[in-house]
Amino acid sequence: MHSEHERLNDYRGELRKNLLISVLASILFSVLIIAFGGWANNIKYPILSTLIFFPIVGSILILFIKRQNEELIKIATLIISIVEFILSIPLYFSFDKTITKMQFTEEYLWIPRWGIKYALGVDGISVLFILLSSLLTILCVLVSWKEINKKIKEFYISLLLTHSAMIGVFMSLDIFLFYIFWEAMLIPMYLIVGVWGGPNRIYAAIKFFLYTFIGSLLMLIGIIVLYIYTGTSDILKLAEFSYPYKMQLWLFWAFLAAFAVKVPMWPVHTWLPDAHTEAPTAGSVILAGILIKMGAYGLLRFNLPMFPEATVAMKPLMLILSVIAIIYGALICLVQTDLKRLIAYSSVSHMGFVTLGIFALNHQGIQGGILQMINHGIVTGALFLCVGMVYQRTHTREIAKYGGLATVMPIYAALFMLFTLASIGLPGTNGFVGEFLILLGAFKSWKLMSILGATALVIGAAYMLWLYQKVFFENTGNYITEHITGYGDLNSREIVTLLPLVFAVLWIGFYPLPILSFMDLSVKELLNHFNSVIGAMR
Amino acid sequence: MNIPQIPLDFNALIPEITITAFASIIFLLSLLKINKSLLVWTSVIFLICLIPLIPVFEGKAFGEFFLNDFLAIYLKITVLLGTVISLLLLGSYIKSRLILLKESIALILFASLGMMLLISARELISFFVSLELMSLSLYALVALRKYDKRANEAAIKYFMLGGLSTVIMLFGISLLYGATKSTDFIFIVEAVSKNSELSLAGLSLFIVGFCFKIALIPFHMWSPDVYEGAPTPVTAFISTVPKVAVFGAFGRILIEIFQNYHIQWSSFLIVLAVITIIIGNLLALPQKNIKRMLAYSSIAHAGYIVLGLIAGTQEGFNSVVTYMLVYTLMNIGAFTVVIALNEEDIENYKGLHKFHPVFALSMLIFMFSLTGVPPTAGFIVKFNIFLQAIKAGFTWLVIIAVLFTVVSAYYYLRVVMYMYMKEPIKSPNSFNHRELEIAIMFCALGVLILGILPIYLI
Repeated sequence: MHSEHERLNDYRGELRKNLLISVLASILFSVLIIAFGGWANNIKYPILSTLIFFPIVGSILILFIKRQNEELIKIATLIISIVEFILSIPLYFSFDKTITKMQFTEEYLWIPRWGIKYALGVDGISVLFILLSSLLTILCVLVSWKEINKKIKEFYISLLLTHSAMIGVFMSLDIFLFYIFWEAMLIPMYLIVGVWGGPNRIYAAIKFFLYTFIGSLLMLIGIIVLYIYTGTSDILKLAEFSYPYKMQLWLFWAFLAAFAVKVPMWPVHTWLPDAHTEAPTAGSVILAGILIKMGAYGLLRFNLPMFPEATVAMKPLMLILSVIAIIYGALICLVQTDLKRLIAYSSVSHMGFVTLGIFALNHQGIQGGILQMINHGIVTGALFLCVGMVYQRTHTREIAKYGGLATVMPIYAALFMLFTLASIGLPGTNGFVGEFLILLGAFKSWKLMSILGATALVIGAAYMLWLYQKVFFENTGNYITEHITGYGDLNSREIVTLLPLVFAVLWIGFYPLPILSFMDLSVKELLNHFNSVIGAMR
Repeated sequence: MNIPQIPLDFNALIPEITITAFASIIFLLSLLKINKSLLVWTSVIFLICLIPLIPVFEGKAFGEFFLNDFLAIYLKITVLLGTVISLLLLGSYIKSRLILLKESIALILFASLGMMLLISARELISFFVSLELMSLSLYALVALRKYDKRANEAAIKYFMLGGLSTVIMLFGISLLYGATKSTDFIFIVEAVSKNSELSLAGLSLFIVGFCFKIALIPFHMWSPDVYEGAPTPVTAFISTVPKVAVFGAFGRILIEIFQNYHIQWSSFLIVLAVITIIIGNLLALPQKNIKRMLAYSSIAHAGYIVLGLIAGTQEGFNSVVTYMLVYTLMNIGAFTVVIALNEEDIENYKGLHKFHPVFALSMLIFMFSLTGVPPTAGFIVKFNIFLQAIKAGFTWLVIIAVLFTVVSAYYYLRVVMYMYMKEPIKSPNSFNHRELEIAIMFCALGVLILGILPIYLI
């Protein structure tokens, strides 16, 4: 008995040592790579391709690890994701905020027969999402450490592949490449939801796949039509053409079909609550954090610059749909009984703000929309992480079964409070900055919509605070409160998982300028282009 | 009637002549007591050696009667690749079931010989003869398991309906001959406008025969039964390789000879394509037997491929040709997994990922490729077909095809879902032959690599 205990302790000690060594090794390794890159004259190595292919190569390596060697698989994935994050840091520091051009560009001819290029590049909008995605992937690995206990190898491979495809979407400068990444991401995501999800996972996974697939295929038709009309597949060149108004309308709807499903906008949002609820924690974080941002990003990259006249014509409708999403999502939240489902519906509401900002079609609105996307990624990602952590202890997500958690999990309660407030949009947190900018932009654009959107903030406060009170304070003598003493507070792994997000919430809340300055010029450029086309039309 | 002077240069025919000789030798040897897998491997190695040599024999033979140009070479290589993989499957099947006859190897070789001749034929009689060589070999292949009721039913059905379609096509050929007084394609092209009504009547009968061979709805009745009843390696063969040849041969006739009548024949094909895409996909949904499901899926795929012909341009035809290569890889691959897992009921695929992670992963790749999701090759070729169809102005057709692609996603993903997301209900009694592993790896890697680097597809 005694010796067994000792052996277990030894094992744990060794594990900790391994972990520490692996983290240090990964940091050292990536610093070396960056130093090499810096030495090779200010990032002349293809940093974007490195970022895309590093996780793919890593997942191939993981493929060769023995299935039984679970710890090694986890540690390897952790190393890969940390290295990936460190590799993406130069994007932040070497990014030139004073020029509007695409940066870190790479270009190779990929399919010569069609003139399709493997072209990558980032501007001030997309670079933020790449950083966010790299960060969230690390957190996803950490939060899955104990949660995922079957088919571990496949899970981490899927996670890494999803990451690669997602950042590929944000980097592509060729519409065909964009589509490849956009769709390729579906396969691992379908598996993540369907294999490692909750009880209703299969329904959710298929719904998710079919919804997004039909939208994407309609976009594919749009892409083909664009390609045939212009003869090029370069996204930047496509934006310079002016298309006939009727064609713009059709294309606008074709692209919107894909993006509206991803965002998700109001009538096509129904896949989201299912997928978010049933996915494992890491899946929910990726879905909420990055994946649904791809839709809004697509609107900014394609619909606005390429079809400006159609955008202006559709603006009222889009604003109305956004406001419906905001209010409807918030109202649905009030009647949810499932923790994760509530947060999922709050995503619908928050993404409504994003589209409201984007279709306000002015500087504040779009900037606010982008910032809100980042914020939503951080805050909702954090809330899903929190729910995942408590679910591992209680194995229930039903709000009615919770109560009085604050007495046994004080650290958890404090962190959850912070994210709740950020989700409500309290000044001092990041949520406030984004929503304020959006409402300001919308007010300039259509006052009524801004006012209606603002009322939803009240509902937002209502459901989040109600949730917080139910889960953490009320002691009603139900399931959780009976077993409550068994739940330990967050362990160090979990705190480490949440800390970067706490930092991000407060940082953006108090000093959003670094983030805003990134996108400032890109947004200006987008609007300049937009207004010049519209002005020329009038 | 003038008989043209035919120069006797048969350089371009050498691959076909070699195969004829080889297949005859194999046929004779199979009468002796020789190890079956030795025969299989000899044929496989022979064909593998032949494949890289085919481009060498580019050119014409017998005047214009036999044409071996770039597209023909591409198609022939596809046919031979498919044949090689099918032979491997047959080899594994012979090992584990011991009921197949040795003639099957020779029959497959003769069938692919017929296909190669069909692809190159530029004259109606040789066209018809090679089509029959192919078809008759296929009928016999379906009936290989001679004590199996389902196989016999399938073979008889296939033979009867196939015979009917042949007769209809022969009638079409005779009408064409009557209208143009020639069997040579080059003369037909010139003469077709002189007697356009008769030749159009011939053409429409011709198209019926064509639609039967590629199983467009409503000429598809044979295919689910034949696919289900035939031994699975034969199913894998029938569902892919003959279609390569038939699409290649008929596509050339439609696009090159009847270019001026594009509106007439395409309007006929448009109706069939729409029906095929809609009904093929819908009928695949409720199937419980995976071979039947794949049968309906290949019917639906024929619908997509016809879109490339409907475009009516050379580029559209090129997109069909490249589609056939990928279609062969992914469909044979899917059937190979079916053979390896030795299960026909989709229900029994539940949880197979636990027992066979590699097979399950390959099946996942094939299913996503059949759906047309990047980064698999299935996407690239589908994109190409859609691109050509939209270029030719058939956007609405593509929209229908796209909507039903989503329907198809449901039944393809169901297989993936069963394998990965459900708990196993029984442990499979699968085989693990080297031949099967080679075939699966080849197809899966081919589909993935061509999807990422589509070098041979454009």
